[in-house]
Amino acid sequence: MTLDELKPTQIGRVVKIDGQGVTKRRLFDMGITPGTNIIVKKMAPLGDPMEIQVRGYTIGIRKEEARRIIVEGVNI
Amino acid sequence: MIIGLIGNPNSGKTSLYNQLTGSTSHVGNWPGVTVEKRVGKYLKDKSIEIVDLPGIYSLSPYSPEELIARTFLNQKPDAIINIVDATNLERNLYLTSQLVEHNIPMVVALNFKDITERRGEVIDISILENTFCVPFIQISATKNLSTDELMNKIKLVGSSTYSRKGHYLLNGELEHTLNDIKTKLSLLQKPTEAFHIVKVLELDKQTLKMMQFDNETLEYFKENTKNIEQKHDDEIASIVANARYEKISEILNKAITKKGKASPITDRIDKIVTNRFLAIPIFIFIMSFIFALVFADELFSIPMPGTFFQGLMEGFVEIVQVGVANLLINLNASSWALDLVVDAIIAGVGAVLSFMPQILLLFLLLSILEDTGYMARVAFIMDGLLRKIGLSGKSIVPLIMGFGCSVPAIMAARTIENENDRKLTIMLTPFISCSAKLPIWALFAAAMFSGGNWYIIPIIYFTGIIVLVFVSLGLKKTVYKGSSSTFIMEMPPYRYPNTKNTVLLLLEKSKHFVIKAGTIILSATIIIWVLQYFTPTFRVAEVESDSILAVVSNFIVPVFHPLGFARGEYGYVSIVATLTGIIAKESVVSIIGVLGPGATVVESVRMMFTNVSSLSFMVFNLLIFPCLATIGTLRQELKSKKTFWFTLLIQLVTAYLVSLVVYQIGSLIW
Repeated sequence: MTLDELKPTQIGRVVKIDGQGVTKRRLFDMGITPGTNIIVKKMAPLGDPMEIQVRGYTIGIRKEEARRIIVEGVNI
Repeated sequence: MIIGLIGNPNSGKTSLYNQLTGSTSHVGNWPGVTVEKRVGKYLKDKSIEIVDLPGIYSLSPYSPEELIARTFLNQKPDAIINIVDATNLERNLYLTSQLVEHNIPMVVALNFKDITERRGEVIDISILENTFCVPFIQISATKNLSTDELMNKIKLVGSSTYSRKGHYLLNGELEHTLNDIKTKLSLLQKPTEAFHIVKVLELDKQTLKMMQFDNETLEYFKENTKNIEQKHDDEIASIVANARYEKISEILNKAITKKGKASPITDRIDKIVTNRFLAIPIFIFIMSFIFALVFADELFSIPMPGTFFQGLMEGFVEIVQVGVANLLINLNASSWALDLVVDAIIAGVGAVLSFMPQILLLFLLLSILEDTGYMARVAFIMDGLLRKIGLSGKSIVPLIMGFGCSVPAIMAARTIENENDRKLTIMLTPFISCSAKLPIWALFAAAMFSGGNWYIIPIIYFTGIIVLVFVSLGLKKTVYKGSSSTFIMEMPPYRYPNTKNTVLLLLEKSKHFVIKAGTIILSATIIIWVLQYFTPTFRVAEVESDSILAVVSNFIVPVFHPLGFARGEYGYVSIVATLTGIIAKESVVSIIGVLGPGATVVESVRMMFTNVSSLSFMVFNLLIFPCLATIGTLRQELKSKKTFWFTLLIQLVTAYLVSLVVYQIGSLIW
């Protein structure tokens, strides 16, 4: 499954990041790498972007960007 | 000695820079980009020059900011200070792990010492120093703790007697691979600086080009990397990034001897502030409050600071006017000189300067809000909505500020990283009805739409917003096509705003405003004065309607016929009003008052306009070129002349077309 499918309070462990390019680079520069746990905190008022916690800090990320992150559920 | 200051965004870099150099002054932009370049001298030792590099998360070559840092490092500065947010070590050290690969003397400043101590966190610095092989110094930039120690260390490592050899910090098997590459490179007698080795592994284009490998060697390295990629089923850049993070985790597990308890305050605040239902109402509330402070006369009978200081400024201008007038009269100055200096220059420039207190106050309040970290939340909340019109969440702040004044609004767009998004936001901002245009709406509302029709003012505001949406969508589909940048935005913990930073920033902005906008306004005021003082034959105009300005306006009048206004004997007055509105939008009302046929300005409006032509006139003034201060700011912030003139063209075309539609359709209905 992909990160955008997770709901608030769910945790996913990153398996892989799809695709190529700037977005992917940015994602792992920010610490989203295979094996990392991502906690989904909440969604913005219009349902997008989503707020996640990675390596102890908080990021806002659009669902279209989150769709690239393949995760396996840790506590779903 | 040249020292570079490098670190993540939100790591307190700006605070440290201010602390060390005493200013936020920037010397223009980095060549070729719109990223501000900041260089200053260390207050306690002027021989040390500190270059503030843009906040970056990594040294990859993808954004202008990262390229600037890369280029700077290639020029081999004497030393670099890597500022690290100690409350966010893991991610911050990622950049550090890349920086240590360079042969440049370096000191790591672990910022927010006060916060980590408060949290009870204990970090074994020696472990960090031994693994990264650079000095680590705990500081607090805002509280000015240990900054002297930091600079003493930097002086030491930056001096010529000290040299540093870069090394790489990656986990596991990659280290072996890198060692192999290093051996191969030295056999080929190629440079073997640590970061070169890693870049060869990553098949970085710039590095490969520089190395000038023969085909066989190139194929060897490519094959090598491909094997690794296949083994991990991932691309090399990702594998390397992961290896870095794994190494960092390993180091931190040993170095953090006592984990701190993170404060839940940020989370608690965010539970409310980014709550699905409360977020937008709270945002509207906060913005309304700020606007009241800046633009309202009073709130619940309490006088508001914005209008108070504006009144003071106006009073000051008046005093200057009277004083200079008296002086000139005593010096027997000719009447034209009196008119030019007192009624044109001082009045004209004064009119613009008088709203400077409000611009600055707005900017101050929004900067403080930005400093706390709230604006990141705002971008997060509004992104969904703004994407629908082709912008991103980060555009919301400039657009909101535009309701007050376009000048600080356009300057606020600097925080938008994506060039296209930024340009688009800047171009759209003037369409929003700023506070200087409000007197125009109020005048027409009183003259033509009184009684139950007060809603004409909100309608004008909405017209501005709707036009903005359409222009945005139009431009996005044509001229500014292409994917926007990624959003991925850090939401830092809430922090107390650093007033020193903000005030320094404010002073810098005021200086800029006064100089840039002032020169344009001064020149334009003089030009307009000449145009309305003299006849086309350069005699002094006896009657207003004989002046060049009036003659030219009359000439243009037919162009405006389809828009409904500018008709009749006093038609030229609305043109003159619109034209002088380009100096300052407030002039529109005063020109109608001075040149209009009625005894009062309200009477003049009633005599010059119909209901429908009022609407088209208001819409035209809403959308046409903004005031000179804004035009000056547009020119400054839009680097390319082409974009600047294109913006003005769009304003002209939009103003004419929408006004036309309003009048033609309006007159069919009413």
